[in-house]
Formats: sequence, structure tokens, C-alpha cells
Amino acid sequence: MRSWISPVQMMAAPIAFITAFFLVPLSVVLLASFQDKSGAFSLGEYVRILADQYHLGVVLTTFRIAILTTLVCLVLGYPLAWYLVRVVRIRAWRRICVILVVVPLFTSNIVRSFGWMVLLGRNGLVNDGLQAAGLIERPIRFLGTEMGILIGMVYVLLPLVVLGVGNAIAKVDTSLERASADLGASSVSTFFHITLPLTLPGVIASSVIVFTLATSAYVTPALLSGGRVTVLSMLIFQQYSATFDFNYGGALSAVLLVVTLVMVSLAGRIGRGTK
Amino acid sequence: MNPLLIIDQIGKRFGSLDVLKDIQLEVDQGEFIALLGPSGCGKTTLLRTIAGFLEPDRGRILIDGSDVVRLPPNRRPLNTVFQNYALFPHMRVIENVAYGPSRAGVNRGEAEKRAAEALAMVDMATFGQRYPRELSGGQQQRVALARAIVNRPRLLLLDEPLSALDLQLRKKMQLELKHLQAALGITFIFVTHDQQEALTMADRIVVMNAGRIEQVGMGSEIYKRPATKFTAEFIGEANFMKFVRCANNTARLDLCEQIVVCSGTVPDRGDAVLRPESIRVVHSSHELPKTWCRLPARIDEVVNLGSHELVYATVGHRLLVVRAPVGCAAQIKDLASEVAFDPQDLHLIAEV
Repeated sequence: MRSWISPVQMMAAPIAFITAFFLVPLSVVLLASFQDKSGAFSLGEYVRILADQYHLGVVLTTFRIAILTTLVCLVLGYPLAWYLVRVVRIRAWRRICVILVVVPLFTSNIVRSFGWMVLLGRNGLVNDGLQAAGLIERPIRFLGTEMGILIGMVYVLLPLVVLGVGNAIAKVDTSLERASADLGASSVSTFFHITLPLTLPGVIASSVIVFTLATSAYVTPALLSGGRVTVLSMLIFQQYSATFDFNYGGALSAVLLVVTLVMVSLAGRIGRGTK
Repeated sequence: MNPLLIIDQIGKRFGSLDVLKDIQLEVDQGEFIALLGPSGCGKTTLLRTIAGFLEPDRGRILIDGSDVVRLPPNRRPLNTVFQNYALFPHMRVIENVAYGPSRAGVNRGEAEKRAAEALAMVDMATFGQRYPRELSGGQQQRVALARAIVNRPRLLLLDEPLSALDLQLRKKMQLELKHLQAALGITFIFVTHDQQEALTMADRIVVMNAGRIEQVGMGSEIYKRPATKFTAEFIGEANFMKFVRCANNTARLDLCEQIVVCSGTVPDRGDAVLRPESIRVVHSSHELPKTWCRLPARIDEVVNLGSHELVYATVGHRLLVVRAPVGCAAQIKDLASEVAFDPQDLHLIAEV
């Protein structure tokens, strides 16, 4: 008799895991968001987010930083991926470049963020360098600004774009670009008509990953904000750890989840439209 | 009339390998040229050099008298049909074909009108709204062709475009390509490793080997009078034997002791080429002209190919291939058999 594992048996463990550690806690959080302090059904917590200028501002700041992070990562990451895949001919050098790109992913997020605190500080390397070069007279304040958070986030998330987009570029058959040139297209025209559309699925996939990680990031904004900028994840953390307001924390979490899902599905729709 | 294309002393080296060695070739307006050779002979490299995807190390490429070696591919007055077709997967067939005119600055409506005309020329008019992945290999091939001719280039380069098609379709496309070329009057340069394909389509065949041009000429001429042993072997089947000159127009073959009278002047020594269809398998009692050379032979194998058969016969220690009518060998197989040929059919290649 042959023994084999049925699909149901195979799926049992992952389904049990997801149910126990994701679906149940998520339900608890969502249920709490629809209750008031006495436990009765209420939409009060959501009204509170919309009514409170400060908290609404935090939501907007979070998504502004996330969108900017995604755009900057794409603008920096696409050419870098292109360079690694198409320009570099020497294998050893390509390997070194890929390692340099990937290494930040192996270090602790806290260590990386502290590193940026040192670099971006009033007397940090960045300000010293800019002053020495005569580009600025007085130190620029990075820490505690959205700019500082943006720099930290781009640094953390750039490798994901380089790897994702690099993979997409590697898949484009170079004979298509040759055919485009053969038909009279300049290299710029070839890029916008052939290469970019064909790599768009990879671009969108990378953007979705970067955007979701940027909206939910906690450590990098918490350390680089210096308490002056607040993003949604920090606000949620405060509700659960400091004020113990589980209902409001749940509502904020739900907002983060829903807005992120909407953005991701929009991106997915754009991705499908290009195929 | 000046030649449309002049390839002048083109050389290209990859590392320590000379892939093109002093290539010299002139192509007239409206000609159908086949670049023929085994893989690695440099034919595709030469095509890419003409298209502008590779820069030669030395030499000039003149199109209509002006040197295009420094021009990028998009500024050369030619188009290419790629081996894998290289259709844009994210564009519909009509958009693929309209791509050329659009890049030339033609407005969208006009570009699609020209694309539709080009598609009609290759019998693909009704497929405009499909995506390339929804087409068969043969249909993709036609679209690639339409896309390459839509801009009416002076020169069309084709890089083994039929190699992925099955035999039936390939034969059909060979004739269609030839008709299309005649109808358009565009000069075609066609790369292939298939001698049959080259013979079917080309006005002139350029035989290449190891980065050099071995011979340029009409198919029948190359077949009848190959300039080198390589060409003789590559185009059609050939039997080889060594010869040494005896007197003015006679030679001694290493196949037999008989001194044979050849046509034309006889070089000192070299290889004699004898095509399989020039040899006959005969019974020893069969009457033949006195001048013919006849040798006792043992028939080893008969391969029936339907229209004719190939007879493998051993003469001395040598195997000769004979192309004979069906059933010819069977009649004499068990009897005293001979192979015979007219020495006038020998083609002599001088040893260099």
C-alpha cells in the first residue's frame, strides 16, 4: 500500500498556524475597534480618528513618508538594478555589488537606525561633509524631521527594489531591445516603449513590498524621529503600551491595514492592466 | 549601377578568436543573398555587424556609398528579422508592426494603416488584434516579417528566420519569401546553415567558413564548380579522391590506376569532386562509352528515399555514395556490380 499525504493533511499545519497566530489576534483587534469602553458596539473610535486633527495628521504623515520612500527607492533602485544586470560585465565585481546591496538586510534594524542617528546628527558625518565641501554654512537638521526618517527608510528598503527590479530586468530578452533599435527607436524611446513596460510587473511588486513595509515600519521612524515626528505605528504602540486604550489602538490598526490593502490592490490593478 | 551594400575588409575579433577575417562583399540592389555556413562560421556575426549591433574592429560598411560603421542600428536604412522573431510581447500584432512607422514620426492612424497593409502582404490581415503569444510559430514568423518590411527598408537582414519551423512550413515559407522579395524589390540578406534553403531562395550564395568567405556565386555554379573542398562538402553531397596531373588534360586518380581525360586544364595535384548523381551503378556486362571510368564495386547499403535511392558502394577501400533511380541497385545487387562515371563530370580543386 502506498502511503501519501493528502492535500488536506499537508495544509493542516499552515492553516492552524495562520488561524492561531494571525486570524484570531486580528479578529480580537478588529472587534475591539468596534467597541466602546463598556464593550458595547460603537463606531466612536473611528470617528475619533477623523475628528482629531493631530491623529489624522499622523495618518497622512505615515502615508506621505511611505509614498515618498517608495518613489525614492524606485528612482534610485531602478538605475542601480540596471547597472548590476546590464552594465557590469565582470562577475566578481557584480557579486561584490550585490553583497553590498544585500548586507543591510542582514544587520539589525536597530543597529542600522542608530548608525544613521550618528551620521545624520548635528556634528555627524553628513553635516561635516557638506560643510567641508562648502555646500552648507550651518548644519542641516535631519534628526527629528521627515527627511531624516525618509533617508533611513530608503536605506533599509532599497535592497528590496534592487533585487526585485533587477530580477525583472534580467528577464527581458535583449533581442527585444535590439529589435526596437532596429525599427528606428533611440535608446530612450526603447526604454520607455519596451524595457519599462516589460519590467513594470517587477516594479509594481517591489513598490508594494516597499510601501507596505514603509507604512508599518516602527524602529526606523521611532529612532530617527527623536520624538518630533509621529507615524501611525508609533501611535498604535502608544495606545497598547502607554495608554492601554485597546479600542482606539484597534481602530488605528484597522485604518493602517485597510489603507495599505487598498493601495496594494490598486497597484495590482495597474500591474494587470499592462499585461 | 553602384552596389547597394559594400562590405570592405571587415574584421572582428572576440578575445583571441578571429570571427571575421577581411570580409569583402558587394551586394546589388534587389538581390537575394544567402550567407551559408556551419554554426560558428561568422555568418550571424557578419549580419549583426551590418545591422549595427556589433562594431567591427576594422573595415567599412557602405550602404548607398556612405559608411555606416559608426551609425547606431536605429539610424541605418535597414531592418532585421530576428531568429526568435523578437516580437514585443506586451503589444498587439498591429502595434508590433506599427512600431517602426511610429518611431519614424508617422501619426498613429497612418502607422496602423501601413501596418495593416504589411500584415496583408504576409496573409496576416485578420490577426492584428491578437497578442504574439496567441499565435503559432509560423504566424509569429509572418508578423516579424511584416514588422521588418513595413518601413520599406533598402536592405532586409534575416537571421535564420525559418529555423524554428517544421519542414513542410519551412518549404512553403521559402517560396513565399522569395515571391515577397521579388514583389517588394528589397535586397534580402539571409543567414542560414541549411544549403537546401540557400539553394531554393538565393540569387547568390556566400559560403562562409571559420570567419572567411569561401566562395560567392549562384547556387548551381557553386554546386558544379566548388572552389574549395569545404564548399564541395557543404553544398550537396560529394565523393572526394586525390588526383595528380599526368599530361595536359589527363590525370591519375588515387581511386584507380586508369588515367582519365578531364575537361579543361588540370592542376598539378589536388582533390577531385564527384557528385553522387554523376555515378552510375551498372552490371559488368553493361555497355558504356569507352572514355568512362568503371570500377568493380561491392554494394554495401541501399537507402530508399522514395524519389531516388542512395547506394553506398565500396571501391577498393573507399566508400562512394551514388544517387540512383529506385530499384536500380536491387537488379544487380547479387551479381558482378560496377560503379561507372564520366571523367568529364569530375571537378578538380587544386591543392593550395
